Amino acid sequence: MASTSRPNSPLKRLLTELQTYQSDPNDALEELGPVDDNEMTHWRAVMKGVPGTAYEGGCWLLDVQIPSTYPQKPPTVKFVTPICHPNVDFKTGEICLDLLKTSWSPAYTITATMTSIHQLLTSAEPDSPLNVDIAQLFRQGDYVGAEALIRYYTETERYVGRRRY
Amino acid sequence: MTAQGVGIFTIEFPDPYTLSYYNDEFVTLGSNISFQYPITSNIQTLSAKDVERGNDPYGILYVPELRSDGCKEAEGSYVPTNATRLRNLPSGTDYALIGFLPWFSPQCVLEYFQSARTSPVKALLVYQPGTTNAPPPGNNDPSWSLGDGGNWEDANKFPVYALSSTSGTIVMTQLSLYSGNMTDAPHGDELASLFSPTDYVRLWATVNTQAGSQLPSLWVFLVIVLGLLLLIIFVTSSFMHIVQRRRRRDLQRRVVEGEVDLEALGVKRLTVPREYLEKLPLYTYSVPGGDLEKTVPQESPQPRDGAPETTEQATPAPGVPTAQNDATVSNQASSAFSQPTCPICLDDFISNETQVRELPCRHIFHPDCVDTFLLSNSSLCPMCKKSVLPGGYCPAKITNIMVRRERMIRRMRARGESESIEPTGQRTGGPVSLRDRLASTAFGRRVFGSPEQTQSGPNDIEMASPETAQPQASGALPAPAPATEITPAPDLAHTRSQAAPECTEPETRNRREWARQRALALVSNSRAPATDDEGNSGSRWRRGLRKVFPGFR
Repeated sequence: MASTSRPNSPLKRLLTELQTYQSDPNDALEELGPVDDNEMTHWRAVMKGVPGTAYEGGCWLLDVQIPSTYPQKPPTVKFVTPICHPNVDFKTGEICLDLLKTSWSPAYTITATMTSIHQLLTSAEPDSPLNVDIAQLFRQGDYVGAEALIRYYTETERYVGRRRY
Repeated sequence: MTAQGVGIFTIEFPDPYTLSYYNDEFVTLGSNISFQYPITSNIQTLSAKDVERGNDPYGILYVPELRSDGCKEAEGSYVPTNATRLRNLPSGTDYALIGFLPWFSPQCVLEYFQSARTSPVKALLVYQPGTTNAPPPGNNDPSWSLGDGGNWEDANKFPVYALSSTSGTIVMTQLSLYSGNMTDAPHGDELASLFSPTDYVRLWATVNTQAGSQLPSLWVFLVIVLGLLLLIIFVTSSFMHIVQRRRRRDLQRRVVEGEVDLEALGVKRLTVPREYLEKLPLYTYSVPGGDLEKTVPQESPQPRDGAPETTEQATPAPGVPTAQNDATVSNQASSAFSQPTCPICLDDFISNETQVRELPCRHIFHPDCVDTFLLSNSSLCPMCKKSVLPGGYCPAKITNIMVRRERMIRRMRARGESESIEPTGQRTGGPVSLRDRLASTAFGRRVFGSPEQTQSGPNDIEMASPETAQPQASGALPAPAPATEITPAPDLAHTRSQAAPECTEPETRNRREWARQRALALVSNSRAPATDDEGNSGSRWRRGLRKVFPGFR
């Protein structure tokens, strides 16, 4: 009876998520939070590279748009900083991840989603590519070339923004 | 072949006695000095016997001879005495002839026919005596009856065409004019000055049978080909429809029997009907201090062996880490009732106050939170992706697309199974592309995670300190959760879920396996998005094709 009239707006949950993140930060991320304090449905994240891989030392800015039906519907996440990855569109930053589309569950949080995207960096799926060039290298088995290309873009396209906190 | 027109001309030809010409050595005279009479209407074909295509009848007009005296007498009132007869033509030469006769009494017409059969007659032109210019009566008109049941048609070796009464009378009159010497004919003197006076001047007729008679056959051919094509398409289509219907029924049967879980497979996104949702247990939450304190109206909350517990641990609990921090006791209880927070809105449950909904997998939620999700989005538990629906639940309609996806996923599964049984690196010579695909992902994984990572322990997130590893593992696992469930290799899933809580040494291997699971999940998911707008993909043309040939890819 206490829970019969819960607000449908995602604001409360987003606040909870933000507090959770601040008390227990995600290792994959440099920073996570709303772009503007007045607009809780638009977040940004800065993702760190995976040490020991071609993405080592990288730093990418991601844009997170949260729909008004969140968490029933998944957030829209895009890479703002270009990244060379088979499942990420180099120009638009669109990410091909089932979690963000069909297999979304409201039990996932923004932090968990970010961790999944971080995982995607090391487990690419070249058979459903958004970046055809790098995916082609993988399919042909040119792992040296692919790695070199990734390293190159990780170096040149590194995000160097102001830290807000 | 029906006659389209009859042309009557006057021809001039030499006497074969004086000149040994063939009878095709003739001159058609112009209309200014002779009789010409084209007839293009009011022609009735009484009999089309022996008319070959492209071989129009033609010949010199004459009136056949009668035998009986009665008929000869009666003929007098219709045929002028000097009308062209056979004897008025050069004898001894078989000219092409066309008989011309008035249809005045059945008896006499039969006599005409008999006499015509003895001559090389190509056709007969007949007319009913009278003064009207109306078309001759139709074939079935009793006035054409000769009282022999139509036998005359078979007996004759030539076609018979009827002209109107006026046309017949005009031609008969002309026949009497062009029967004697050239000089007796109209414009005889002129003709005599142009030609040898011993030549003959007679009337000549040609009959135009149906023009362009080859064309219909081409059309008939085309129509036949088209019809055959349509028949083939129809047969194939109905065959495919039958096959598809059998597959739909088969899938429905397996869904009802609980063999196939449509949504867990990603075949079709299901939603939970409200009446079923209402049946799910709903009760007031109470602090899980111990089993005794629980005031639960349901059966005992003891987790069934293995399955729910492992899924609980192996699955994402993105909201749980905080809860685990402040309530470590709940961790060991590990029952679903230990959830102190609603995973959807992340609000804590208030003991003895909050109403909670429990799903069959024993996860609890605020009814408002989970109901909207189950009613409109999915039938799977948000936490463990276990179906909320009862085993035999089948959506109202199994569509062809669902059948196709299910078959494809089943095939993938069969291949994936043989793959996952083998050790990762080994490649036995299999023809399967998925094998290569998986191998390449395994390779790609190796490149991404270069060997040095095992040495550089502290930096590697996989080797992170245990307390951070725990939430990380739980955060990292959301994606593979459905994969774990759907993987038909239980041993794999088992080792995985056992390894997860320990999460120290086997992490690296875990991760590799995770990548493989994930590749499998991706393969099936990318091919079969569980969207609801199925059938709308592709152009209208493709959709039509799919409708005609279901099961066509």
